[in-house]
Amino acid sequence: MLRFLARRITFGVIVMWIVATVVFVLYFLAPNDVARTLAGREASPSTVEAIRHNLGLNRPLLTQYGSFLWKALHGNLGYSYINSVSVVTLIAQRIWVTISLVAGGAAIWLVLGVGAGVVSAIRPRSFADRATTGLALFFYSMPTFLLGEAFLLLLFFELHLAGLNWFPGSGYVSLAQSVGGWARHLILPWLTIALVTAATYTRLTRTSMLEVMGEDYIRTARAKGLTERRVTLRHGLRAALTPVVTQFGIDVGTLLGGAIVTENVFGLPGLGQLIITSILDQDLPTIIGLVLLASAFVVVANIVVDFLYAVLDPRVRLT
Amino acid sequence: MALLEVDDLRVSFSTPDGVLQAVRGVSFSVDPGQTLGVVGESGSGKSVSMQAILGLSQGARVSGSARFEGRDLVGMSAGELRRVRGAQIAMIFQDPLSSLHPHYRVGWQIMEMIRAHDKVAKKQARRRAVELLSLVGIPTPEQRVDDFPHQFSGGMRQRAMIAMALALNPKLLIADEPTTALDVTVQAQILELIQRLQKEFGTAVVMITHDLGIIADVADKVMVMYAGKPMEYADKRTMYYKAHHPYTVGLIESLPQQGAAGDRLRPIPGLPPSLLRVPTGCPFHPRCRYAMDRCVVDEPPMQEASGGAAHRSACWLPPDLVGLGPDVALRREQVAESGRDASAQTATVAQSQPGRR
Repeated sequence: MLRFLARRITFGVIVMWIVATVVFVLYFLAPNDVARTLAGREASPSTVEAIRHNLGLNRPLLTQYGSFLWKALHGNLGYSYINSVSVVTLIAQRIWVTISLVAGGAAIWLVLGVGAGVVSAIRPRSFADRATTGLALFFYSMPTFLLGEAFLLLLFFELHLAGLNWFPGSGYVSLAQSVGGWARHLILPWLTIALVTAATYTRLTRTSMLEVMGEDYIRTARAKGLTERRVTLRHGLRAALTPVVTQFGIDVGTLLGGAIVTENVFGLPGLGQLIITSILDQDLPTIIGLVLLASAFVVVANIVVDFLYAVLDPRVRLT
Repeated sequence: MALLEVDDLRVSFSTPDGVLQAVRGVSFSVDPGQTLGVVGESGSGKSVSMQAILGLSQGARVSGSARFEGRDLVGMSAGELRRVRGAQIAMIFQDPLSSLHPHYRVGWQIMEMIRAHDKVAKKQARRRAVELLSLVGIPTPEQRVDDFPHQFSGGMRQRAMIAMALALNPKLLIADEPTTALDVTVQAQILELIQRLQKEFGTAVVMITHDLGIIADVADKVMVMYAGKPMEYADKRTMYYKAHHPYTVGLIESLPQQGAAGDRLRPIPGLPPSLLRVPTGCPFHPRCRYAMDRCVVDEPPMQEASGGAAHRSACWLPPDLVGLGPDVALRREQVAESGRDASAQTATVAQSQPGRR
């Protein structure tokens, strides 16, 4: 167990190191004036000079590389000259928005997706199966921004015109400020991200369940005289969850790095919006920080998934 | 009174290729404490018929009746049948590795079985699980009760399955090829265990197998099945020494004989028919060396044969033509010869080998 953890963390660190190096190469060795770019388009020559000095761009390349890594290792992701604040602070201000969005969305898509998958697997080729499959494909093939805009039009704009302000059209209220406000501001983004993602889970669960329900141990469970409900959920679904867990880890890990489209459609000040603004502003320290953070999320998600594997299936040994 | 009385059981499945008639009219009975052996090749309907009785064959259309202690299982509601399954009629299966849930502890699976039918506390169920594991010969059951199935060997897994099956002291145990997936030495142990527990608890057993050797060991009565139908039904001695049906005779003759090294095995030629297109007349006629003209057209009913009490066989050969050996074979050959018309014979050959036309 400990060996597994040590190995996976080492591996994760290596991945992060590669990402960091690629980022360094791309942005620090590109044939342009890094200090100029970092400072943003409208910086004065003295600011540029100050940045050049701060970054130690006049030092040898390897020294720069080493100091970049060293700082990153200590959680110092640099300073955003455009926002006049450190990148870590910038991320810290916004990360909870993204976490709120992804956590709520994930809960919804997991329940919807897996639930629909189980329903359609119980009676393959039935009306319920075809209906859920059709719905799943409908939402799956719908671009996120389109679904988001559709929700805004129908559930915000039209309701607003009718005098019903149930769902706010944009903005974010933190959980600490008001629980109700937090949920109300997030419900449309949650639904958007959940419906677009749930289809994958429906298909995955359906396929996996169909396979599992044909297994001998399901026949044993029935022969034991268990209720069909118990056979399906405790015996069937439990065994069918493994591929779902993998997908879940990947999705959550990826989205935590920034749910770009959903955040922008609903005006949520999260990491996804930060990505867009920092790219538009050519705010390189922030971009670098976000790339590193996103890859960290993916690495951690993968380790967590492997852990969950072992929890779900006792035959899996963590070595 | 018979414990289980099955009458004209029919099971069919709709498939994209048409209706598959897996079981086409099976009747038999099992007395309390008795062992019925059901023999047949794969696809003969032996497993399906037993699973259909318990409502375990998904998507099957089942007709006929299966009276268990007077109550018909075929017409029973799902809830009622569920209460019979496990508690009154238990089942063990061929592959003990895939039959236990890989994600749950062995003891938990036994406890689940107990608690599905009896309202007992977890602790009590666990104590019972340990008892059962020790009963079936699992060493240090207090510890092994918390093992997962993959930590058990094949034989131990089947022991655990048996422990689970017997947890509620069922009146009938259906053993569906319980030793097929096991080593020969382990096979013998498992059979012995089933027999010992059967004696101890007075459980009736239906032993489904394709292995005539196992039948010889454990069965009181034997039913031979072919293409979804019973071919012959008799007590064990009759079946082995005074078989009537050419299929049974073929099965026995295809067994390797002890002390007959150098002799060639005599397999039954051909393959069992597709159950989507069962041949007309006797389903065995395309492979039968005694096939007569009427065998192609008329399906023989189960009728009495003279091998012993309650000996029945579905064959047009005279009921007194029973037994093995060259002289009986010769007489069968003579009867068959006289039952064949020369012109019809060519027709038979053409019909059974449509590819030649």
